[in-house]
Amino acid sequence: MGDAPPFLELRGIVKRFPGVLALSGVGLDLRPGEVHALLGENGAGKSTLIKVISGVYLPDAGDIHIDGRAVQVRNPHDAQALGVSTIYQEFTLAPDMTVAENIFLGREPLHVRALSIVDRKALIRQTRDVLASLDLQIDPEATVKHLGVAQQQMVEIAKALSLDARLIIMDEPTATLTSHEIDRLFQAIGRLTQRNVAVIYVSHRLNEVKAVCDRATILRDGTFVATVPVASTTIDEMIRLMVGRDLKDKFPKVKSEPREEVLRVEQLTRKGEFHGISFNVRSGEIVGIAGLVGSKRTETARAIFGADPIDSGRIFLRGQPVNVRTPGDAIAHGIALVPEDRKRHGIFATLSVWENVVLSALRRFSRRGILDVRREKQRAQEFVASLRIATSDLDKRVLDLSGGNQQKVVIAKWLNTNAEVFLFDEPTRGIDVGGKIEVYRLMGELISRGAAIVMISSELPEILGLSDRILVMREGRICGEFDRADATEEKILNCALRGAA
Amino acid sequence: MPAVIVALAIVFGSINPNFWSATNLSNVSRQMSILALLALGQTFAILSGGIDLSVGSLLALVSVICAQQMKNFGLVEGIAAGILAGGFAGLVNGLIIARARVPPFIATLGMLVAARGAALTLSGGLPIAGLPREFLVLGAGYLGPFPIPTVIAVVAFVLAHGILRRTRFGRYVYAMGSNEEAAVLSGINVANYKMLVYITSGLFAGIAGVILTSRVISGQPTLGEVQELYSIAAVVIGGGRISGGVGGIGTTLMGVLVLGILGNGLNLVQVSSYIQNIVIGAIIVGAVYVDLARERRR
Amino acid sequence: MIEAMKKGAAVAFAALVLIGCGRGTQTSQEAASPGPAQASVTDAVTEYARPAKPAKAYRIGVSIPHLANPHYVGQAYGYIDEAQSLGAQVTLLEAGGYEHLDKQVSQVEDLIASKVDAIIIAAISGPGTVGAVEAAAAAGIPVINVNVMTDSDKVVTRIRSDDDVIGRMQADFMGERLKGAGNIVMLRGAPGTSWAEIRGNAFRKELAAKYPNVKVLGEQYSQSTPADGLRLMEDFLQTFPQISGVYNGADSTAVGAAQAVKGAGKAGSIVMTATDFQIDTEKFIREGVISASVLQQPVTMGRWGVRAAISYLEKKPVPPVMFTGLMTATKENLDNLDLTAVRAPAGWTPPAR
Repeated sequence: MGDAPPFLELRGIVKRFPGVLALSGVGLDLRPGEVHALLGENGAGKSTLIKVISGVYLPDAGDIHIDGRAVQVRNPHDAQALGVSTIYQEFTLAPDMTVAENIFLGREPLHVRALSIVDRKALIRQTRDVLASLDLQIDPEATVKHLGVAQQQMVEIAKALSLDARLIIMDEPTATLTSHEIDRLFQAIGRLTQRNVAVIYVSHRLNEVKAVCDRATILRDGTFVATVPVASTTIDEMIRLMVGRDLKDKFPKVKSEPREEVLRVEQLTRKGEFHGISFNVRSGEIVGIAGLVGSKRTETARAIFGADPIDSGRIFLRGQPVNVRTPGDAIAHGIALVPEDRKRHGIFATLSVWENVVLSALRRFSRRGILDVRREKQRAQEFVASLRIATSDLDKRVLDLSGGNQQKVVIAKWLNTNAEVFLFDEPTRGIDVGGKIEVYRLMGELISRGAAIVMISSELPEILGLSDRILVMREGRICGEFDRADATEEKILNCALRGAA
Repeated sequence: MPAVIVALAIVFGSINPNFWSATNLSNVSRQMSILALLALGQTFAILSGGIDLSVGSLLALVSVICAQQMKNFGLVEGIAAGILAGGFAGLVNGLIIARARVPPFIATLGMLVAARGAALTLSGGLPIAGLPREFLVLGAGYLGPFPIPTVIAVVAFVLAHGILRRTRFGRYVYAMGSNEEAAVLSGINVANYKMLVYITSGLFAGIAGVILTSRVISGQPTLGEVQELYSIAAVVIGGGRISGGVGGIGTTLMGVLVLGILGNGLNLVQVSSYIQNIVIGAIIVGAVYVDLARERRR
Repeated sequence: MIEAMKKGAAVAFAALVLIGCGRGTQTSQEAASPGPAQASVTDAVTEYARPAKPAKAYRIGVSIPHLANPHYVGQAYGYIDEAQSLGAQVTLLEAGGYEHLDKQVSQVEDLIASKVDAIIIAAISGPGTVGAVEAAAAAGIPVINVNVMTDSDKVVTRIRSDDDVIGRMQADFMGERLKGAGNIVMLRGAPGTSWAEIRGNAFRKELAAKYPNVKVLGEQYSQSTPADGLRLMEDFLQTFPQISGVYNGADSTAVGAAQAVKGAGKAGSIVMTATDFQIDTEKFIREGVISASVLQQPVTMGRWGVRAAISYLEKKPVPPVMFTGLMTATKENLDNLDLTAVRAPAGWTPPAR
């Protein structure tokens, strides 16, 4: 680092889409071996910028220099040839092939070129070398789909390295990692920088940025705001630059006055998943459930919602035992589940906003079997307004909304069912800072109207900031319970990692 | 898509003005009504994220059962038996798909083979003749200036459109096709509604089979070969997505019109039926390509 | 609601199936009996001269089941060549096979819509084409029935081989060759067609009358393709080890059956008879696998069809039934046959349709 000439320089990058100016005159410079954060709210232009760098988009104006030479990155192939590799949130590995096959896909060492017979021994050997350079203990012959998410990510990094990448762009790399795995990722990044490989680190997790990045470039609304040295910039300052305003209260806390018990579960058990789960939630209360990936929190929530069966245990609503065997039962009893994976489980991407919003409550809009579309749209409009869903038009496909707004649509759908108990699973995953605040605000409104919320989250600041009570799960059991007053990150992590309160 | 249809009509009409004659138009609409009804049922199946490969064979099965029961009991009983047979076959499809969780492609493929076998078995492989002359009216008759099968198809279209757009069933069909897992988690009883989808498809095939039987005034176990593929083509050409969740009665209608006008037009300008098939194949691929290209540019 | 529906439908369908099964054999037998105008007519015409060329250029629509063998290609040649001589224009439509009955109906409707002066039809199904034929008659278009008959009396004339004679000729040949005793199987041809019915029935009747010790072990209907003939013959050979003779209603099945017989090494030890004369039939006769074939005159059928249409349109009387000629081909007389009425000239192809 130091006075080395920049490896990558972008000047005046402009990118237009129909009706939208995604990037207007953005610049960036990157030194070899630097870890450079790219910050900004959703819609700020981060993903557009990295797609320009990696050749997926062609800029309408501006130029790119690598090692001081002007280059054209016309397609991902060019980018790869120039040493740029990108690791997206959705991995591009072939799940049914082995680690070695994935890393060298398309470049397998061959015995005889003409016959395309793969030299398996050389393949394994070369894979081992690459993995070793990152100090990874992964079996080259393991099938990728059997690896954990964190390991798959490592395989992606190894693949990039084997392509002689000089820049690896990581898009939200820690979204699905436990803190232990995040440490290992940072170690891997350290090794990359030792080899003079630069990293562009795109993330919403500012404390991680502080931990591992050298500099950060902030974008807002498609324009370049600033490039700052991370060490000497506080998180609040970074947020201010991203959002353009001071965010005093990241977690708007509504005065919650928990009243009577709404939901109680006793000894919920499913063999191989969770065991003896018991807790209760009161009206006007938020109970957070913390835990590492694999602690079976999602499985518990799905079971309470009737999406998966339980072997034993009971569920009580307002003191009455209830049988929840299907999501239909749950909805009838006023329970709602906002799932972890929006795209796969929450939204109907090809349907419109209003269709999504009314979907779980169609009975109320139908008279003798015929749906009253006018009333449906009216109701949907009310929700769009009250939840401030940013869409110009109700008929827009939900696919075209940003992550935060999609989440709001899902919440609106449940509000329509007059649910009293909301199970939120990672409510703000993949949502930008501004969007997160909106969701928190919504949750505050819900409890002020008497709802009971169970919130599963892997973001400790979020859990600590919002919950009245915190449960910690580990490997399918509850290992600790804390009141808001005496909960700290260390105590929670301790419990989550070692099972001791 | 409507522009394409008008363009086709103009081109064919100018090469052979007979295209526009009342008899030709009435012929085309009569002949298309079978495919239209099959395509309606197929729309439900494809929209819901599935597919119904059995509708062609169901035409044969319905024809045989309709003819046999008509000879045993009477005109009305025969018609009713035919339609119910279609619905029942659809029910079997639905059970296999919704309860046994067999993928729709496989389940309806099995029904495709089994239904034809059943048709051949029940009929001994021979056509069933001796149906009452009055039955011809259904397939060959007119209601005012319109052929009866066309009227039936139009009514069916309107009904189907209403169901898809204005009932819970219809909305759930779209939801299941768009994201089945999300549909389950939104409280939709996916299993029951899937069954209803295939029963619907079977019933439409039943109506089509009865009309076809009337046109050939006999029960024919060899009817309907390949028709299921054309019904799928109609849905897709019109803009329906084969993976489900996108499309509708309107788009299917476009597809049916394109296929019908193409077939008739090419006949009138004396293009061999073999070349017609090549053209239709090209159009299927082309239409989907255009649709996807529009998607990608978003 | 759905539960009740399921139960109701299940009961209803079960009942229907049981009833249908019980009646199944009955109805298929009914279908097997020929329709109204099929019985041999003793005052049928066996010669039909070409009329004078008319002043008007008539448009004649022709609908046939397929063009996949020389029989129908020969017939097509007959239509087209005769029309040329009589100044008429022929629109030739084929339905792509005996399975496509609904296509033939549609094609006839299209012909009616394009207002042809006359329609000639070789029907895929006797009962199945009734609606179309009667619609043509109602529109004032005369219908000439060639080769395969429609079960309607609204046709102007019926032109075909005397299928009864074909059946009897094969029976007589078979009986002689088998010296009055043997086991045979029958490949009858396309189900529901008048030729398959009449020929097969006549064959059986003749056998029963004159050669009672020749037993029919089994019979099958199928589409007229070699593949079907091959498959059915292979199955027969497996089921009945002692087959001494095979009857074929048409010759495409014979070609397939001949391959099966050759494949089983029984060429020459099984007497096989057939109808019609495609290239492979001729080849197998030469090789001795097929013993004899009764040759129809499809070209003549085509010519007479056009002549009848023109005569009718010129308001001349048309005989109601016409039988075209027949001859038998065996290995002995193969090279002495006059095939002008049997096949289209070498190298002639039907117009692309």
